[in-house]
Amino acid sequence: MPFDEAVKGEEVTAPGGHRAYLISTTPQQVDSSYSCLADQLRGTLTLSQSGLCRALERVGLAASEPGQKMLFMDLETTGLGSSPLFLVGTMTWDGQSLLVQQYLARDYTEEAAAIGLFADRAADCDLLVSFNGKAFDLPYLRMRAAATRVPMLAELPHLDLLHESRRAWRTVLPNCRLETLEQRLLGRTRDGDIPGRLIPEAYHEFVRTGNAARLATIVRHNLLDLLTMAELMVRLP
Amino acid sequence: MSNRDKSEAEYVAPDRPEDMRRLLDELSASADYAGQMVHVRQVASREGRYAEPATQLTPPLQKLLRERGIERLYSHQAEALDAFRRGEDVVVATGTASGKSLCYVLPMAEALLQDSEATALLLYPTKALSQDQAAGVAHALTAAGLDGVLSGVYDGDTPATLRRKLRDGGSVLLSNPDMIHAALMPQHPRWSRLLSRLRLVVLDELHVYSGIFGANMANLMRRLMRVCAHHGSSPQIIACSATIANPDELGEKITGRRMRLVSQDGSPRGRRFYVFWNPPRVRATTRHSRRSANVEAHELMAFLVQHGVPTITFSKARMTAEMIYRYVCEKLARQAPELVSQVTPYRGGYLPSERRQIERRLFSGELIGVSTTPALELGIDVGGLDAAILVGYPGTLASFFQQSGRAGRQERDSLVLLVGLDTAINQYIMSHPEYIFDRPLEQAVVDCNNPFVITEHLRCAAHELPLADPEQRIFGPHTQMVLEILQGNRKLTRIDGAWYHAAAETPQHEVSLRDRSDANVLIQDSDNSQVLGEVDKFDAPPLLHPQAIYIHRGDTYRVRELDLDRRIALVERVDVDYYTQALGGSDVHHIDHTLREKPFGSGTAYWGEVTVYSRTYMYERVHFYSLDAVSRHGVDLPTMQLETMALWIVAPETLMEQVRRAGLDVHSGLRGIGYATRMLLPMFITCDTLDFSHTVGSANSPWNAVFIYERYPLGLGFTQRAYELLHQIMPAVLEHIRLCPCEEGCPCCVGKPLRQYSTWNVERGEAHIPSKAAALMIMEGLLGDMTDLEMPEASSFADTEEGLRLRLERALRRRLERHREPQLFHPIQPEPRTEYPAPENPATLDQADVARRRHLRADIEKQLRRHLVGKMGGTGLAANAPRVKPPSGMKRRSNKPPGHFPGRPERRSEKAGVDRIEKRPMEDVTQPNSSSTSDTHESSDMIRHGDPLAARARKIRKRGRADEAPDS
Repeated sequence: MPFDEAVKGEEVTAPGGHRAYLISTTPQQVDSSYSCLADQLRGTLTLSQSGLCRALERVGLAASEPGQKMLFMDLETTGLGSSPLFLVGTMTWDGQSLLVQQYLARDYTEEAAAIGLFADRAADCDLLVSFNGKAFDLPYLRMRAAATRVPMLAELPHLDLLHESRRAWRTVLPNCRLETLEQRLLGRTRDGDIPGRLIPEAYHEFVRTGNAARLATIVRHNLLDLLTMAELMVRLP
Repeated sequence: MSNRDKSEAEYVAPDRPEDMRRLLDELSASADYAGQMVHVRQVASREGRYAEPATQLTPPLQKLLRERGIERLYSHQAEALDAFRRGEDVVVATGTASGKSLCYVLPMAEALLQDSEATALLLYPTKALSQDQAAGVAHALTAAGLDGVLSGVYDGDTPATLRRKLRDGGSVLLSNPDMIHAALMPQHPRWSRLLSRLRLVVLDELHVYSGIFGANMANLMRRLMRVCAHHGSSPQIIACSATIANPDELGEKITGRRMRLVSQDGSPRGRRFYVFWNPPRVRATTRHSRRSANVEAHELMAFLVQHGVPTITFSKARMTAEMIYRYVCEKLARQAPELVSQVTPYRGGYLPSERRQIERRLFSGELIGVSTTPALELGIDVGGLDAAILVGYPGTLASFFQQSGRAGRQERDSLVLLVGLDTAINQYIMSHPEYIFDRPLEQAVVDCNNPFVITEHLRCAAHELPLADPEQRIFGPHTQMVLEILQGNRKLTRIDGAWYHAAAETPQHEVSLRDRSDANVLIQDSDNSQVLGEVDKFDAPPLLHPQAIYIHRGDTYRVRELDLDRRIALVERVDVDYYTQALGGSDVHHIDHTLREKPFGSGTAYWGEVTVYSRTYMYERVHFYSLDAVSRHGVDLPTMQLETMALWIVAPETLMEQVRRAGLDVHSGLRGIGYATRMLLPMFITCDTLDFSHTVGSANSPWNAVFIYERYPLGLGFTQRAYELLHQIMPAVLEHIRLCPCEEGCPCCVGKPLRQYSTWNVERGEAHIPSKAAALMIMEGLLGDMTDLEMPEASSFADTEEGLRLRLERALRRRLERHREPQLFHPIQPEPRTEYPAPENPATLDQADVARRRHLRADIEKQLRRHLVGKMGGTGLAANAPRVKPPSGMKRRSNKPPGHFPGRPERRSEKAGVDRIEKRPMEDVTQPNSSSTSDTHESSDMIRHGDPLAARARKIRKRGRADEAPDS
């Protein structure tokens, strides 16, 4: 499957002159069932007694303050350990709506641009939201930034939903993997999803052959991860 | 060394004899002395030379020296410091115990004092060495007032919390190349703090980085320097080496920098006596004629220890180190029981904590005798030893002097005893001391551009940072070709003028710097689950077969169980008065691929890949001391497989015929040639005779091919070197056999005799009863008038540059194919890009004719029964009814031949003294025969005549063939 058919987006240029590929989506475009997600999130944030607001206070943010920008983040990498990354998925919340923006490196040369664009994006946000980002995503991103010589990100308040989920559901669920939470709390499973461990090889295959069929699945996988994070936030007890 | 630590200065041995000469006289005057001292050489003492550095040391550094008890610097220490201050990279090559560590500790401390943010990386070839040096380095830093500086050992044993602490705040990192390669390099961005401020890289024991390890090390350094440049630093390098012929050249190859050589040793040295000690002949025969060197060595060691001389004994194998220790203890127990506790064994297999303890006790002077393997050869500071006993020539001059250097300190006399083994090289040295003293030291050879080596490192380098085109020159002339091959193998890809890693795995974790498999077998005490040590899997069966006696720190353990799948050997403590000696051996089973070929004399020489099978099928119990074999027992162990490189020489059939007509045993002559060649190889290549084995013939080679193969997985490149030097080696072998004074062959030329039940014993270099006359005749016939020994390669390409390149490329592709193993995240991509036939499946090569025939027969029987039952409707065939399935729980007996066990190849017997006149044609019953005569013959072989079943079977088969015929 050609790239243009599989993935809909545009080429963007990072400050250094490098290029990457940007895929912008709104939750409504993904599935109509997500259309009320923004309303739910807005509602939860205004309830000062909600689990989400308490969690936000714990990371040092006054939840009631309107107009705070949140940045959801999820990475996809080309291997274990310290291999380059190729997809930085972000979702922003500006107090009104959700917008998913995924920075994709179409080959290994575009990694720096993807990281740089993410850093720009993070610069005007107030909160970082991730799932296991404290242990994995953020250190990994910093490491790759050092490897590609992209200027470091500023420290942001960071809400790690893995920790919050553990705090909330550790006693009732067998584990707190995103997949488990999705099944047991949100009551859904993914069809045609690619398992995480196959992602690196699928990406290398795309770079080698240009066949973007599996790449589209990866992009969708990343997108669903981001949306699930937002849904989890709403449900924090 | 005038700058010794205090702990040692306090130690004063009771009545330690100052004069070694007197001690030697006493030794030769004893009743047991039988003229063993064949050569005594005295090396005069040397005064210390001191110097001041060009600029005065700062007060903190002066304090550092004072704390170490040093008043003045030796000249080489000052010279190294001055060179470092000028910004030069330095290689220091001075004698053992000449204060080399100060040559890098001083510049390091000075650099850290000047810039509190600076960092340093200290690399030692082994974990043990870095742990040994850590305390000293930390102590020096404190003494220089650098209290806030964090230093520590970063290796596989470092706990995760300390690793993070060192990564985020450490200034001085002590580590080993393997750790840097596998842990730091793949994660280098996380280490950017340390790497960006790196001021100094120290390579201790530089001389160790030779051969394949050196080539790997050189490429690791290229990668490290590349990553440092990325993080914005350009560290200086200080390397320390033992005395070898070319320390500066080696340093330049390893580091890729121009090095300043500091080799004028300024440390003082006392008189040194080298004594060559040849065990006396106890039998008049040519075989096993001399007294055991181990027995001689233990007597010498006991003698020295009783005279208060701190002594270290080096022997080659773990087993012998333990045995000598045991002998010494028992002798001391009779003569001076109070000394028994002051002697210890020390070898590689011990656990780190045990080693630390032994080192501490040695250093403090609590121990005065140590029996060791070459593990202690490297610069572990073991303190004041005055005598070294070397059991057997260690293989290289550098090693010889390194081991000798363990004895002797400051102005004291020291003594080095070389005890000769009953082998070719040792006996040669015993009668030719000039081989040791009048020969230049060995060159350390490093082929850092070796395409096989850079293949792996280019993958790593691209993984660490994309490899831009201009950077290719760092890795030498073959880079372009290798990169293209790697792209074909889907490991790398080229985008916009740079090479990127294009696979999911972390290549650093697939590449070992030492090229030894890390599949080790753990030895565990079943009583307390304590791990006693580990050995390589390929070497495990002969050492750890069930019922084997394993000696650990002088105690005997019996192996209860050897589990090769889980890689654990369970042992239990027993007291026995024997040790065990495995019988069996290894040989080339088949050739996988011939990579090079050239006419050599009247025959042909080849180099290529082979598969070696090693079997242990019996062991004998040998009584301590008397060395009598008490009993023999069988063991049932799987055959071990080893893929490695070999060189083989095939002499023409006509020559074989001539030898046979002369009434000589060809096979035995060929084995003799193999043995003699293997024994002389260390004279041409830096290697050890135990790195090789030899055999004659294999499953798919001419029967008279003489193989010399390497005992390491995929080889270390020794045989290729030997293949290239064959025109020098083989004439020397002929000369050596011809000049040997023995009449019918001896261990010094063509080999040792065959032991009962043993076809060949690799450890001892034993072979078929060797025939010297046959060996000589074959060699003379092969070499002829020595004119056509340097022939061009026989290959489709001429020996042009293009041809060489093509051949290399083929070999590389082939090697990568072999390497390719399924990875969790990287499934095999079929589609080899080479024109090679797949290597023959060992399973089919394994399968013996008998097994195949039985299998076939069972098949026909089954068909027949089915057919008959179908025809007769299941009645009236009671006797021949299809076999009923046995009740559950009962197993039908397998139809494997008795004595069969997995992997054991069935083979023709090779009896001593019987020549194989012709090769028996391989019977292949799977192919339908064309002529009817052979058909009946074959059937009679399978199914007896007169058997009604057989008659029907024949009929069915005939019909079947008639049906098939029209198709074909």
